[in-house]
Amino acid sequence: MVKIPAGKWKPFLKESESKLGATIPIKSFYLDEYPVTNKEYSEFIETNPQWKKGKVSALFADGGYLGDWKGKNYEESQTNSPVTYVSWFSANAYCQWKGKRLPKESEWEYAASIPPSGKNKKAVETVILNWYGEVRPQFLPNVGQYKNGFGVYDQHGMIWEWVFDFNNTSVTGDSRQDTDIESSLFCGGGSLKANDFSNYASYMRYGYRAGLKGWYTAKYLGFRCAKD
Amino acid sequence: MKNTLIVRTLVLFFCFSFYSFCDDHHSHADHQHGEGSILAASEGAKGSLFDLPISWKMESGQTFLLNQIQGSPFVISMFYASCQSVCPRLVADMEELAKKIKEKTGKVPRMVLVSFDSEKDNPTVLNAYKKKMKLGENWSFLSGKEEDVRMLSVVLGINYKKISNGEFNHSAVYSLVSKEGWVVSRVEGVGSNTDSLINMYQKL
Repeated sequence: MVKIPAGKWKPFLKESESKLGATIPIKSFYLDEYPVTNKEYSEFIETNPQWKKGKVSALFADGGYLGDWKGKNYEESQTNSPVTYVSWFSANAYCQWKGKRLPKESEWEYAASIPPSGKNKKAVETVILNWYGEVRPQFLPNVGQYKNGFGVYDQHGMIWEWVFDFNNTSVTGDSRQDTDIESSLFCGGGSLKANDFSNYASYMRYGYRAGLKGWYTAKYLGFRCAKD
Repeated sequence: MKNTLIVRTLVLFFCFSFYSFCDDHHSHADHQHGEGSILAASEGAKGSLFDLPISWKMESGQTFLLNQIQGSPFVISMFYASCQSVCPRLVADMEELAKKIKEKTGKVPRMVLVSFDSEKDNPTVLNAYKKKMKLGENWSFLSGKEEDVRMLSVVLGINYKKISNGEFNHSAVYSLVSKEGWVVSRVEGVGSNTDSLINMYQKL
């Protein structure tokens, strides 16, 4: 794990009463250097057979769970690639088994906002936007492709990642509802105000998270763990 | 208000412009999501809530597992006691709902409210709240650890966030749970129509 120093982070979405551009303090924490790999995840399943493919309650993972694994195991070539087709519940269970936890959105985003050594934020955005524009590969590469200034790898350019509180924004996309949605759906009159609309790169991650359910699994959705 | 609309429009715009973003699910014949449900909670979990390995504290201080109420359907939602705006309306809605269910079916439904606020809402606070609101014995107020509260919110399709002033932004959703622990009906937003939930209760 990499020790992430305490710092300040500017959330993409502002809270109702915070000033535009306000930053929030992030406490120091530890974050996995790499996304969790197929090999690591299979070790978890060995000792926690309730998370085997085909054994998991529909509450905790949909039918796609470990969909890239042929039968019980991953392809040999994918040993050190990120595990994907995992649900929030399974990612959560893995991290707990390791004595860790899933990173909070603010922690993940803060670490992800740090550019590679000697580069600036633009470089980060370029990596992300290129990734958005690429055709997704059939097979994911080994972890260790993109490194940020803290020494954390692959937060961008490879997969989406689960965060602990992925369901913390209430963007409602139900066209049947009237536009007065916040006043009927939110406490504290909280409405979403994006701090920086030009930042499409983050915007996509927020949009992606907003569309998730805890039991969803997807080909390009994996995770890593954090620790206090 | 306006901003939310912008956000929504933008998300939809992205949805159509970045194909890979919305469509990186495998096409399993039996399950497809991602495209139609790119936004917000609009479905509950599949599977039984009784599979949740969570132990709560009741307002009486007793330990409580959801499967203790196995065998009778119940209505469940999440709130917090110090909330001034939506929660009182949510609770009023649930009272109204309980009344209607009793009128229609002759049964007093079990009502469960779980607090978002793991720090402040201990059994004492929740018991005081229950008394203040004059709610009957069929109501249970539960509190638990932060990670357990988050897990339940994920299962129920309720979004929430603690904000810096100690308040919570959250969606208001109540779910009808069958005696097997399945979410069989959901109502989103306060003041929404509850007829379908009541009809479902009659069938249980």
